[in-house]
Amino acid sequence: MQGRFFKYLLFVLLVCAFWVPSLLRHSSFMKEAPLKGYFEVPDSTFGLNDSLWLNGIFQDKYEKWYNYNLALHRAGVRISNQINFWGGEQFPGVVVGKENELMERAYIDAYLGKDFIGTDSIEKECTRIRSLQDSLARRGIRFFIVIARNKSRIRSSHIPDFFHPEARKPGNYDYYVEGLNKHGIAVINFEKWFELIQDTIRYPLYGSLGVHWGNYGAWLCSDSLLNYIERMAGKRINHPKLTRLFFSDTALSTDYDLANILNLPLKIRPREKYVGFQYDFVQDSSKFFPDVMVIGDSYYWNIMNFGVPKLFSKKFRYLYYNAIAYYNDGSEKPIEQLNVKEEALSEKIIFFLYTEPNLHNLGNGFTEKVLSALK
Amino acid sequence: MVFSSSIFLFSFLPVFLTAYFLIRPDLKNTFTLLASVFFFAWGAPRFVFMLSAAVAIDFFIAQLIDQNEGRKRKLLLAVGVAFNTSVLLYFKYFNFFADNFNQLLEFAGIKEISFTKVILPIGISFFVFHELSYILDVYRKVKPPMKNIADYALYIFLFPQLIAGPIIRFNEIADQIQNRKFQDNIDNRLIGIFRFAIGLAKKVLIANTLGAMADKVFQLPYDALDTSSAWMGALCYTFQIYFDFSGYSDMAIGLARTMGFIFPENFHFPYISQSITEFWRRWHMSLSRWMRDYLYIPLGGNKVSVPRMYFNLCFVFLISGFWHGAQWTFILWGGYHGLFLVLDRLFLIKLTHHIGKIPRIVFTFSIVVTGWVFFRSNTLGQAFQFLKRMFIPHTAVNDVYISGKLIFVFLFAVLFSFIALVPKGDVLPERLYAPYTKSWKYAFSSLTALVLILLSGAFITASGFNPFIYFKF
Repeated sequence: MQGRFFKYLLFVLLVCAFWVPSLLRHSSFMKEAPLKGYFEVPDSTFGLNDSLWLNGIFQDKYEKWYNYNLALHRAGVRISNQINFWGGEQFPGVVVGKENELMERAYIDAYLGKDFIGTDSIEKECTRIRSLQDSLARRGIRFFIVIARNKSRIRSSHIPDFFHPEARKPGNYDYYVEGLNKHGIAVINFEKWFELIQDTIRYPLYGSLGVHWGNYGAWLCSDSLLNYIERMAGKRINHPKLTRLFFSDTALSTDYDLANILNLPLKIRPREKYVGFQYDFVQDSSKFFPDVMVIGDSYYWNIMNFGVPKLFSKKFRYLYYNAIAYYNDGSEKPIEQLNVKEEALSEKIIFFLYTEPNLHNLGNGFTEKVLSALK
Repeated sequence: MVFSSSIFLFSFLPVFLTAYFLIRPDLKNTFTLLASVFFFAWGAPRFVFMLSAAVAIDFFIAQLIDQNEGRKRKLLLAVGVAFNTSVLLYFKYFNFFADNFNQLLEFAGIKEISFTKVILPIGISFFVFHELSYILDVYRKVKPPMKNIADYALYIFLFPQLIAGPIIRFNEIADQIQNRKFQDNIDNRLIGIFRFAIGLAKKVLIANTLGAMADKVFQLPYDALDTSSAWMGALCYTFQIYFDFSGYSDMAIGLARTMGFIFPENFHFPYISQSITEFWRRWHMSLSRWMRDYLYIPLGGNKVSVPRMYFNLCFVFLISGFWHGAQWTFILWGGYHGLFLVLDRLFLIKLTHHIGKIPRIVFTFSIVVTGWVFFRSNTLGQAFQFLKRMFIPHTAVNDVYISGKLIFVFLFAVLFSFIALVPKGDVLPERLYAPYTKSWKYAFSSLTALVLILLSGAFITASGFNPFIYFKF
C-alpha cells in the first residue's frame, strides 16, 4: 500500500512538473530577467475565427506566442545556449572564434570577400560619392568618409579554420580604399590606422567579446575625428579630456555586446582586461559648435555615447543606416519625415562612418537621394 | 501539434494526463477520442473533416463486410481497400504523378497540363494503413468489427500513434479499446512517462543535433562536398533518422502506456543487424509486420515459386519505399532494400556466414548507410552525386564545422545504437520499461524523466531564438 502511495505521489509530481511552466506564466512568483538582443516578439493581438483556424494561422501564431511567453522560455534559452557554448557550437550570427574571440558572421564574410559587390558597382558608387563631395563643396559643405575597423580583419588569426581564412579574396574594403583614393574622396581609414598602432599601445583597442570597437579604440577614433573636424572647420572646438585610463574587470559600453546576445547565464571571461576611462566633458560656449551630420552604422553609437555630438551644434543628426535620425536631445525621427535636401544643406560637415560589412551599401542610399535632390 | 513542442508538453499533455487520471473509467475512451480529435484538428484543421468522413465510411463498410459472406463480402472488401487506397493515392501521390506526367509531356514536346497542387494531410500514411488494417482484420475474421463507431474512431484518431505511428494493427489494439482495466495502472503510467521522456530526449537532444549537421552537409553544393564531409553527413543522417523515428515511437508507446494501451515495439537495435533480412526485423517493425500480413502474404509470401517470391519481396519493398514519400528517391530506396533481401536469399547470407559477426554488422551497416543517402536526398541526381563523393575520394573546401557537442552526441548515438552487442545490452529496453519491483527504481526513473523533459523543453523553447545586437535594416 505504501509502495502504491509512493508511486501515485511520483506520478502526481511528474504531472505537476508538466504544469509548472504554464502556471508560472500567470504568477508573479518567478520573474526571469529579460533576454538581451533585438528579436521579433510574437504578435499577441491575433484573434480566432473560422478562417484563421482552418488555415492554421491561429495555431501558428498561438504556438509562437505561447512559446515566447512560457515561464521557462528565457531559462530555456539560457540553458540551451550555455550547453551549446560549452559544446563549442556556433550560434546564428555570432561566431565563437579561437580562444573564445567572438565575432559577427557578417564581419568575417566581409573580410573574406564573400559579400563583394563587384568592381563596377564600387567604381560607380565612388563616382557618385565624388559628385556628392563636389556638389556639397560648391555649397560650402565639407564631406568625408570614415572607415571604422573590422575586428575580424585585425584579429583574423582568431577566425575559425572552417571559414578557411587562408582562401580570402579581396573584397569591398580593398576595392573601396583604392577607389575612394583614386577619385580623390576624403577618407579617414581607421582600419589602416588601427593596424599600424595596435602593437605599439598599451591598452587594447577592442575587446574579445564585443563586435564594436572597445572603449579605448572608440575614444582614440573619437579624438581623431574631433581633431579632423576642427581642422575642417578652421576653428577651435571643444574636446573631452581624458583624465584616467585603467584596466577593469567590468565590461563597459559595448565591450560585451556580442556575448550579451548569447544570453549565457555564466559570463564569459575575456582574454584581456577591459579598459575603463574617465574624462572631463567641458562645453565651453566660447568655442565653435560645428553643424555636423553623420550617416553611418552602429559604430557611431560608441562615439554618440561619449557625448561627442554635444560638442556639435543643435543641428547635429545621426542618420542611423539612413533610416532613423537621432538628435542631440535624444529624440529620433524616421528618415521619411525629413527633407533630405534641406537637412543636408543646413549642415557644414557631413560624413559617412561605416564598417567593412556595411560597405556593400555605403551610405544606404543617402548619396543618390541627395544628388537627385540637388539636381 | 507535435510531441516535441512547448504547447504539447506544457499545455496539452498536463491537461490530458490530469483529466484522464481523474475521469471516470467509462468516460476515458470518449475523453481520449475528443482529445485526439482536438490534437489532430490543431495541426490539420481542414483534414479533420476528411478523416472523420473516412472513419464513418470505413466503419460502415466493415459492418457490411461482417454481415455478408462469399462474393459480396469480397466485393465489399474490394470497395473498402479501393476507397482507402484512393484516398492515399490522391492526397499523397497526385502531385507526384501529375509532375511526372508533365515531365513526360515536356519530353515529348507537348505543353504541360496545369493543376492545383493537393495538400498532404499530416499522418495520412499511418491512418490509411490503420483503416486498411481494420477492414482486412474484419474480413479475415481475425477480429469482429467495433460495435461502436466511437471506439473505431478512437482506434484511428488515438493521438499517440496518429501522426507518425507505430502502425498498430487493429487486432493488436481492439481488445484494449474495449477493456484495459488491468493495464491502466500506476506502474504503466510511471513507466509510460519515463519512456516518453526517453523518446523526447532522443529526438530533441540527439536527433536534432545530428540532423543539423546532416542538413548542412546535404545542402552543400557538389563542388564544396568532399569525401569526409559526405561520410559525416551520411553517418549523421543514419543516426538522426534512427533516434528521431525511434524517439518518436518511444514517445508514442510511452504516452499510450500512460493510458493503459500497450503498443508493440517498433525498433530493436536495427544497426546491429548482420544482414538486411535481419535489419527489417529490427527497423520499423510495425511497418514490416503490416506489409508482411497485408501485402506480402496475400501475394503468396514464401509459399510460391522462388522467382515469384523474389518478385514479391521487391514489389513489397518498392511499395514500402513509395509509402515513405512521393519521390523517386524513396522508391529507389525501397527497391534497393528489396534487392538486398533477394541477394540475402541468393547468396549474401551464405557468403558472409564465415566472416564473423562484427564484419557482418559493419557490412550490413554500410549497406544501410548507403541506402539512407537515397532516402535523405531531394533528387536521384543529388543522391548519386553524394554517393560518388562518398566512394570516390575527393577533397574540397567547405565550411563544415564539427563541434565538441556534435562529437559527444555522435559518440553517444553510436554507443546506444550498438549497446546490444555487449552482454545483456539487448535486453536493456526490457529492463528499463518493464514494471519494477523496487520503489526506488520508480523514483530514479521519474527523476530521470523530469530532468530529460526539462532539458529537452529548454532546447525546444529556445529553438528559433536568434537575436541581433541591434535593430537591423
